[in-house]
Amino acid sequence: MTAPRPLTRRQHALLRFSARHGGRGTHVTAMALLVWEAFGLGLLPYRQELAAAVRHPDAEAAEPTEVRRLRRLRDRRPRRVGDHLPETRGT
Amino acid sequence: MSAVDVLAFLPTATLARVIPTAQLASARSGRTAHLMTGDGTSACGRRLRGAIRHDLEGAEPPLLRVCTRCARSLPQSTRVHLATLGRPSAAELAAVREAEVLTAAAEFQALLEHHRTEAVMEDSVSEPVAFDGDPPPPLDYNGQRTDGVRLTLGLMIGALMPGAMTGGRVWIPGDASSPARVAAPGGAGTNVLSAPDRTGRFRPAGVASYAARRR
Repeated sequence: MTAPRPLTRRQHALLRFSARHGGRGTHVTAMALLVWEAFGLGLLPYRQELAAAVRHPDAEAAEPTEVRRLRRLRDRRPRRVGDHLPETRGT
Repeated sequence: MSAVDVLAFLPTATLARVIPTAQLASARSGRTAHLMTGDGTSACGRRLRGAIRHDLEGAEPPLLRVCTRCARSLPQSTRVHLATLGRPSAAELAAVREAEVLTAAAEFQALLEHHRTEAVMEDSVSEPVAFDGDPPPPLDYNGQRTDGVRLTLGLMIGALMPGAMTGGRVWIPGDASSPARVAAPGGAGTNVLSAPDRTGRFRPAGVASYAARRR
């Protein structure tokens, strides 16, 4: 089994950016501009990259509070149909 | 006498055409091809790390230029031929130039991305910046000066990113002969399916204008 790649600088920047601006009630339009300015991304690809960074095993060591907050939010979110494991689908 | 020094920018394709038996090699991360002598060293005397041999016979020559020092060590008759009748064609020059320009753009993009990432880490990405091309604040219809968009470090980096003005359309994968590179009917950089035509259907701009001309 290969060792996972270390957290990239960009992933660390995404987590730090989220710690600074996420969860503060920033309006979605202002947030879109901030994200575009910081990463050249739209909101959807930003959320996707951020989710990938949060899944990284080294993420919690980089930004502990923010990663715990994002994981808490992720785990609290209700599962959707496509999220079920294959063996439990349709049961 | 041409003002252009042919040996300073000699595509390997030209050398392959003039000397099909030439032995070329390049370093693993090298940007030039070197002429190899019989004893396995390069003609310019450089040592090549992890040398990759390029077989010119039968295979497509690599999109590299020949090392200038190696080119100058070619026999006099060959150099004269390269400067006169056997000079590089525009297509050969353009192919190597294109590869070098795309490499330079990709490197510049990575460098700008690095600066932007570091600016995010330092929390300086939203700081206002000003440079020579910064336009004056616009006026509204009553002549009042308005705010405009404040140029920040992050926005400036985004504007300087290669491909920013063309929506990334220069990054077409594949080589020059790829059908993906055929020009769009509406012209370069035109999104041909961006809007419906008068009949409400999505059609390439060229088709729509052709139909309008026939009417």
